[in-house]
Amino acid sequence: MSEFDIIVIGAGAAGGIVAAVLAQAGKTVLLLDRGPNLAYADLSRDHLRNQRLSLYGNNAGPSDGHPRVAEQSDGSFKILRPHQAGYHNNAAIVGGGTRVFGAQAWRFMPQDFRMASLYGIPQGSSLADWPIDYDDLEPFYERAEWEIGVAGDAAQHAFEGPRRRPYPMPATDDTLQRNILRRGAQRLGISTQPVPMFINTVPFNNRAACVRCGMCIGFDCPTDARNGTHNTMVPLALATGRCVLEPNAQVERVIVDSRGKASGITYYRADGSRRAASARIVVISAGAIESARLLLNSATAEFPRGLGNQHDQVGRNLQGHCYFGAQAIFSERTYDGIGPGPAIATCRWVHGNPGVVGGAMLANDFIKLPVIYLRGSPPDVPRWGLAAKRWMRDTYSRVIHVQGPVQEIPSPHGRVMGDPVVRDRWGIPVARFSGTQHAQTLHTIRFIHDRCREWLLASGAQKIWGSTPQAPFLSAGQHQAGTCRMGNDPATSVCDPHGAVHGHENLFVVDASLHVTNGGFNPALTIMALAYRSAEQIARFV
Amino acid sequence: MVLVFAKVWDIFFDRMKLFSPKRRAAFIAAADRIVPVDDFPSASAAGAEQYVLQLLAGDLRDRAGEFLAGLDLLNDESAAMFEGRRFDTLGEAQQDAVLSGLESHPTVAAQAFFKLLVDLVTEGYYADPANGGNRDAFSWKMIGYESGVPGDLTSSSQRNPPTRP
Repeated sequence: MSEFDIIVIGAGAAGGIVAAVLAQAGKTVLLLDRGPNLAYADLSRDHLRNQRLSLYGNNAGPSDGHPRVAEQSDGSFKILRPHQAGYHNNAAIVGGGTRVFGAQAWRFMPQDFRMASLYGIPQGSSLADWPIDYDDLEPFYERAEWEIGVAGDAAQHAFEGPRRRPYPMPATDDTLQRNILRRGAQRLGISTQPVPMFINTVPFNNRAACVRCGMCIGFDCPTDARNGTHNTMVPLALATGRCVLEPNAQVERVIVDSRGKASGITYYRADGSRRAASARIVVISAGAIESARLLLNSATAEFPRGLGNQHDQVGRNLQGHCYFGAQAIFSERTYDGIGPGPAIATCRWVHGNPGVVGGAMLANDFIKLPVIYLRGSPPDVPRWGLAAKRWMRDTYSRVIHVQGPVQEIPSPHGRVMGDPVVRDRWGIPVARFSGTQHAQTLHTIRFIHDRCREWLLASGAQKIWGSTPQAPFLSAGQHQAGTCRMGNDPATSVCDPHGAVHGHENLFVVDASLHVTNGGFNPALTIMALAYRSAEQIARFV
Repeated sequence: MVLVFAKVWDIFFDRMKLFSPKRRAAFIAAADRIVPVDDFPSASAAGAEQYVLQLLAGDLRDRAGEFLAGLDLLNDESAAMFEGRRFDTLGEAQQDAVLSGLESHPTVAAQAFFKLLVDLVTEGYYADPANGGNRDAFSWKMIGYESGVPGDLTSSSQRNPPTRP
């Protein structure tokens, strides 16, 4: 007899939803997260140690004691702490990334689900179509928009797939930057729209409207007006009385029998005690890196390469998004202090770019922390002396940064493995990275970078700067995805189209690991939609 | 005897991750060439020393030795270029010449120290006041940034939810 109907590992964008849907369906749920469940006052407001800029530390974890290992371009390996570049961090806290994210709430476009059919498969890449399409996900996009809470204006979205219902809240108001960039877009003849956001523009869900402060992304919301799973679905799950939340719990392995059926997990609490829990179904929602790590670390005599890994697919196709936009100085004021910042976007260049695979949604950036603006100064501006000080003083209020998430072309060589040597504080093998995205991604990056410059120039920019990379790299620091891709063929995928791990009937992965490709958009809403869809399937199963 | 004492003195400060008076003077002079005073305060007036000492004793302790050695190098280079004078006793143009010399120095170590020095002084100056290098949010007032967070000292106005028609 199992203690719980369902164990959900990870209380982030996906796990919070899976737990709530199943608890509301009458199931008993154990919801674990590796991170704590913090109050606003406990989340640091430090401009140097936050999820947006983690120079010396982080505000939302993970803490030290959880290193990762990254293969360097010369073949050596480097051990990384959570705040360091190349760790590919995501927040370790109840709510996961949604507790401190930028909160852009995009649906993928229909084309994002059929990349291989649209563009062909670049040689050496693992570009593939999803086994589901936009229409399969549309009802769940709608549900995520209404239950989590999204503000937007679908009528202005010229490239969106069909939708049945508008957004529940009106889009954010005009800002100086929106007006300036709209002017440029009109000159270029490209359509623009407000950025849909998980933000209360009006009171919603018994919480107040956003006060439009200038410290949004990377920090907790001071007025609880930004919507993540921590203030929507996790509380709903707990309110049923059927969900137990276990924060500060590092899962060690999923326990399976000789036929691969899951019976539960073992995990460590913060005090070092090792616990076991049993359930009829185990759902892994730990993010693309940690979900793959857990499957690999759960190897048994019968499954020596790890769970779901009979075909050596777990951990491959690791991808994120590549941001190589441009910044520009204008003669007029661009700073009005009205956060979060992203107010105008164009989806003109997500697809349909001649000779280019994919593209990106482009939007203006979040209000920049002054120290972030400093670190992004143009190469020809002095770094010290009176001229450097004058630059900051004269230009901070006149800059616009346009960028967007360039859709990567995945490679089977960009991957997560278990490290054979390095262990975390509990003695569990840590994630090790190797490989890069497919090199042709650089072509898309350069195309999108040029569009950023073009838009800024048409809007009246006086000085423009920004650069593009010379070589492919691993980019999972933004929007990690792809390591347990969904598909119908176990030889080329890890999970079925509902997230059930091939060969393990009661074990699921539900998070961005499932993404076959990662879209030209911020992926949070897609992760949530997939979570609703999988959770409904799982509810029918138990 | 005096030499031995001076050496012990420096080792004491190294252990404490603190500046000896000589290094402190060099650091403050350098910080104020990196972010000089105009009608807004210089780096040292905004708290650069406090900011850097906190880091060298904490998150950047692994680089404290390198940093202290760099301050010694600053004085050595100053002495070599300007008749044995310490960095803090030079005029502004001379100080800038020494700093430029480090910036394009033939050794990697000197260049790395110079970059670390500039990065620390400037990032402290523009970071949040709680980090110690941006006293009274001087730099934010200078560039016009407001956190806008309700109840925050750096929020100039009470913000209300935007009204809609």
